[in-house]
Amino acid sequence: MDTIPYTTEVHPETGLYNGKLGVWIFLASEVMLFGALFSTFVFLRVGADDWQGMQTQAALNLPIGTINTFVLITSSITVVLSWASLIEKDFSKFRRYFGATVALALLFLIFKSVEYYQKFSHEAYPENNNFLAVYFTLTGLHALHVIGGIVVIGYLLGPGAKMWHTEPERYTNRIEVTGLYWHFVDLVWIFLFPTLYLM
Amino acid sequence: MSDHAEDIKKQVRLTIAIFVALLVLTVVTVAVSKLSMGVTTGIVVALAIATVKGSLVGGFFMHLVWEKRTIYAVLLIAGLFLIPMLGLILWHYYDPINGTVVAPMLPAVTHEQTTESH
Repeated sequence: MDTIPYTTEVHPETGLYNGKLGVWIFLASEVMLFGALFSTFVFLRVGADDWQGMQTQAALNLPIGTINTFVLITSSITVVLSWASLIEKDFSKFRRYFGATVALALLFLIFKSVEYYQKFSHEAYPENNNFLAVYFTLTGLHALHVIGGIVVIGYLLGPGAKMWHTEPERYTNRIEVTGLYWHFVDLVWIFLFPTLYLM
Repeated sequence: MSDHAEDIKKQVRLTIAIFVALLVLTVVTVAVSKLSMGVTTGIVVALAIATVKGSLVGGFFMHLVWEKRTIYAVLLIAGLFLIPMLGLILWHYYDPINGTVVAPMLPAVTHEQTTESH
């Protein structure tokens, strides 16, 4: 069976290895997905008679939102440091940083669950008003992306890590593109946080 | 030490500097939101700070500053669809189809006005 081409060497046409181009095309589609939802938000926000009233009624937890922003930004840097560790051929340091990324991602989800629990215990559901509908849709989709990231990072830390011993360069590239995805998840949150909690 | 290893160390130092900048900007975002500056100004300032933070993440964490043209082309295509999508919504808002009125453009109907019409 033929192997997948250009996993480590650069494709002459694109100047990139195929995995990186693939992930960027995927991220471009993600830009459209979140962009469509942000458009919906703008439409509802501009058209609402009393958006701030709905927002106040939703009573989002600003301290938790702020802490979660710190958590995600920190997880972004642990991804960069884990990739840099692989470039330096220090696999045990890589495992520590990549493991820290999973821990931070889980911490983010715990805080998010606390927030959701607070909303549901006050009977605040998406059906109540447009603000809550936007809040749950955007943060819910974002949380699904965090879970997806945890699955991929978990695989690369567990069974997928065997590749480091057979094809280290290819494994390093996998970590790089996983990092690209993870930074995108961070990027989305950077816009979600002020949009939902502060505006 | 090889040049390559030195490059990585430089990149890690730069990444840590950007990380600190992102933390500071998050604090600034929250602090600014506490100032009473009006809804529109508040939105513009919050989104401006978010754009700076997003540019730092995209530019340096995702290496867009040093990337190849192919990736810029992919993102340009996404942008070319995204911006009109946002624009069309606002266009509709300010230029509705004949016979339709976008709700917030109507003057608020008060209880007195409702009773007067009866």
